[in-house]
Amino acid sequence: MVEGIRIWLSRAFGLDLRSLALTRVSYGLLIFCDLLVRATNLEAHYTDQGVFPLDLYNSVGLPFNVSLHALNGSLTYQGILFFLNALAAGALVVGWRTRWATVLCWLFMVSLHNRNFLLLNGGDTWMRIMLFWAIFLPWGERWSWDAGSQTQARNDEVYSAATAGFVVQVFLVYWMAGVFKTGAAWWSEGSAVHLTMALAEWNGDRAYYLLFYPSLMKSLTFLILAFELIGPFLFFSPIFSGPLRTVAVLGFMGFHVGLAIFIEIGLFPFVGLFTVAALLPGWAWEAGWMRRLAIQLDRFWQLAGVRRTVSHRRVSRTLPTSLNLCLLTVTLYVLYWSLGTWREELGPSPEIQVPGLLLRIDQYWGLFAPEPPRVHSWFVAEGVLADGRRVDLIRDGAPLDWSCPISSSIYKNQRWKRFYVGEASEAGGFTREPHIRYLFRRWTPLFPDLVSIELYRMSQPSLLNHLDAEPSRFSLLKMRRDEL
Amino acid sequence: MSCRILPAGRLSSQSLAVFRIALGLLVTVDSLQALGDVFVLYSDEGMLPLATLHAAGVGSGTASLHFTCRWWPWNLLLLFLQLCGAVCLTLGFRSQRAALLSALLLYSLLGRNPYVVGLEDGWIVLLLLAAAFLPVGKVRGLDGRVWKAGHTRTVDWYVCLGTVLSVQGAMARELLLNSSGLSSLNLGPLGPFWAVSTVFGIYLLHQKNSLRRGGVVLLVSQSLWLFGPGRLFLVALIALSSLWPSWSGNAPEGARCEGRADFLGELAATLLILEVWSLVSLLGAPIPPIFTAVQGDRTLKTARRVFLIKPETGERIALADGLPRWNFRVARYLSSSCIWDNPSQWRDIATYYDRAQGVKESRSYTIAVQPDLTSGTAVSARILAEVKTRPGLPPLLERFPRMDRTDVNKPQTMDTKPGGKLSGNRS
Repeated sequence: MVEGIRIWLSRAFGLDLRSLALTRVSYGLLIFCDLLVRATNLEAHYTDQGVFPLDLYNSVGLPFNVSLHALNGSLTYQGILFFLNALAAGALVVGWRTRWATVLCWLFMVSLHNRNFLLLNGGDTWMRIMLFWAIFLPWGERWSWDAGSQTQARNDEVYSAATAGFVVQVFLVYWMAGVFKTGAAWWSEGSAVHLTMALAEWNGDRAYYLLFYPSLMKSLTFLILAFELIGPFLFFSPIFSGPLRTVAVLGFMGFHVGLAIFIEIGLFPFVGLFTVAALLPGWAWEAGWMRRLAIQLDRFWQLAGVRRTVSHRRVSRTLPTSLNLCLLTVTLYVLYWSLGTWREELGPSPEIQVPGLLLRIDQYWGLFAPEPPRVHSWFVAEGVLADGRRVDLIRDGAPLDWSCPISSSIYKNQRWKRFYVGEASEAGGFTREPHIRYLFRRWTPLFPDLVSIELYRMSQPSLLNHLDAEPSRFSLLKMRRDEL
Repeated sequence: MSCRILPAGRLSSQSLAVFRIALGLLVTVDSLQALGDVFVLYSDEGMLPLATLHAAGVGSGTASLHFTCRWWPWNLLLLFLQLCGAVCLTLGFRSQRAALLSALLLYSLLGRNPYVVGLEDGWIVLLLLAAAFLPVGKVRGLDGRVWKAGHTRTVDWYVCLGTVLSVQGAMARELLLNSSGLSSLNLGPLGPFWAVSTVFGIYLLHQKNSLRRGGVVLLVSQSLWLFGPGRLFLVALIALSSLWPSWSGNAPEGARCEGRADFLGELAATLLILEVWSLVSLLGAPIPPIFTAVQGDRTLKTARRVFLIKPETGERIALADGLPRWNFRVARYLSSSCIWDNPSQWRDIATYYDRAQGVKESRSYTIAVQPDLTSGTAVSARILAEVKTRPGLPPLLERFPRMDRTDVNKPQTMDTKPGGKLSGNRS
């Protein structure tokens, strides 16, 4: 009996080194790509010349934000940090000093997220938290510089408090996302996918085509809800654990691929795809083409010339008991926190939230919950020139157009889009003035006769009968050049 | 290159030990004092919140670890680490690392509140950096006892750099510029005399034994005359103590730099290093702008008395009497001329006074300053403006509203009626 429970625990909360290695490489590449995208807005988003200067950063938000990026507001300094961060991401990809690389990536990520929290979505939060757990995982044991040319591990299964925390965290993301979905659009109407595809803030170029298939969207709505509520439990199945966990992982991977195809929510689908891949059990790696993939990857590392003796730097697979106990406490803390997001009175008090906020394992998984908004929005920055012409500075100075865009890909990138959404909300209203100042600085060379700028949020109800409702226009802030 | 900037020939281990202990003690005392001032001067709870500092544009040229978090335990932690570094330096425990850590943290502290930085503070950072490059823990320290066998030999260029930083950096720059009347201290008709004697003193430092002792004595006496018997003189004394040739009269057995002393070449190379450093700092790289700090005392010349006047009663409160903590740094902050151009800072000062008195609600004060002239001339107080204090900080429980960050991050939930309610004006 005890042996049976032990075996179940190791299967339910254990991870496979090959899956972890795959996630490690993917995370490294994802961080690198994210940095490239963020670097295109380096001045705007992270310096004193941008939309969120340090004086503003220091007067809003929580006081526990620890950020190396807030140490200096110059472009040079931010560039140096981005470069160092990219190096750490590169080290993660090749698995060089993996644990230190993971620590550095996590530190840089926490710092970056704290510096401008208006740019974040659930995907960022998820990756940040998973990186925290990854610090304690042996994810550099396969297909890495640290592992050397060793191609076969004696046992690819790992099981510790860190792997348990990792699995529990993934479980929480999906299951809490399902629990929070209590609206009629998810349960009785079945219109949640339709409403999501109609959201001008998040829909992608291909979302428009899905709107032609209402019955498919209704089926997908119920399928997603059911899978979010039931699927996570398959990770812990005591019987057929390998096949059932594989089914759950593949199901969630398919879900994320669907998200990536139809809606533009930044890193979220990719983080989900690569994170849930870490849960692929050893059973999956022994089957068919996965086995061949593993062999090919082994060969690649051999061909790459990594033929050195595995040194003492190799990541230890077992954790000390004290660390296991600490991580177990953190896992319970995360569960407690999640309980608080569901029912506030059951969660941690503000004092107990402090460690969570410092480590940035704070989380909230009510995604499109209780149901997707029934009003969608888009954003306009109206620039008035001296000769009376009006241009939209969000759409690169194009002539002003108040109509709803077909997809949210009109914005420069996901970070800007997230910023506009935050700025238009009451909580993020403090960035409107610096945003207009930034727009004046940015566009004056091209439009020297720019007289005034006004930020608008346009909104329109999403009607399920495919008709277009009358859009409404909300002025967020107007500033004239002489007010600067 | 290293031979061209070799300044000192030989450095005595005994002198370096004295230098280390004196410097360590000074930084220990400073750190203890800063720990006491952490709320009033170095945290968001005090007279200079980070937002105000950044809004004034003062912090933009510097990089301080204190900027990375606004929560006061963070400031406290950094100061505690600084204290630990200083104690380690005093005891000679991992001296060079301790010196480097102390230099970094002290530099960070100076950046957190540049208004209270004095002429001597930048110099102390410089001396700590010098100590990081010198074998200061070889004798009279735990390094010598514990790691005697494994103690690595310090390379010559390393020692040279330390010596350059220690002596020529601050002394040459400060004394030469001061003496020629280019800096804030205008020495009047005696300026050229002091310039020549400074050059002669530095020349003597490059000689051996008695001549070098003569140079140290000359520069010490000169510093006493220039700076008076205060902290600045103490720092000069500590800097020069590292160059005392030998305490026992025998040939020094300490770190050694081979090479012929070439005074003018060394001086030129030193100043070149300083200028390049300053230039890189001016270009925006967040490195310690040491010499800006060393010379940056110009705004702190006139002592001021600050008064808060209650409009309803006309009661005049002198901050020197009303603040719970008063020392030379607090006085220096209130005397800094820069802050009197910034209404936001007036408001923060009044707010801090209210907090110290336990007042939570927002109140109005008229703020006035009066120059406190040493000549005894009576100057009437100047009324600056009426300020309204920020409401007192709520207790911890109310200060961190739940999920206030995730409110921003989670998908928008809006009034779903057509034309639903949003923030802002509807047009």
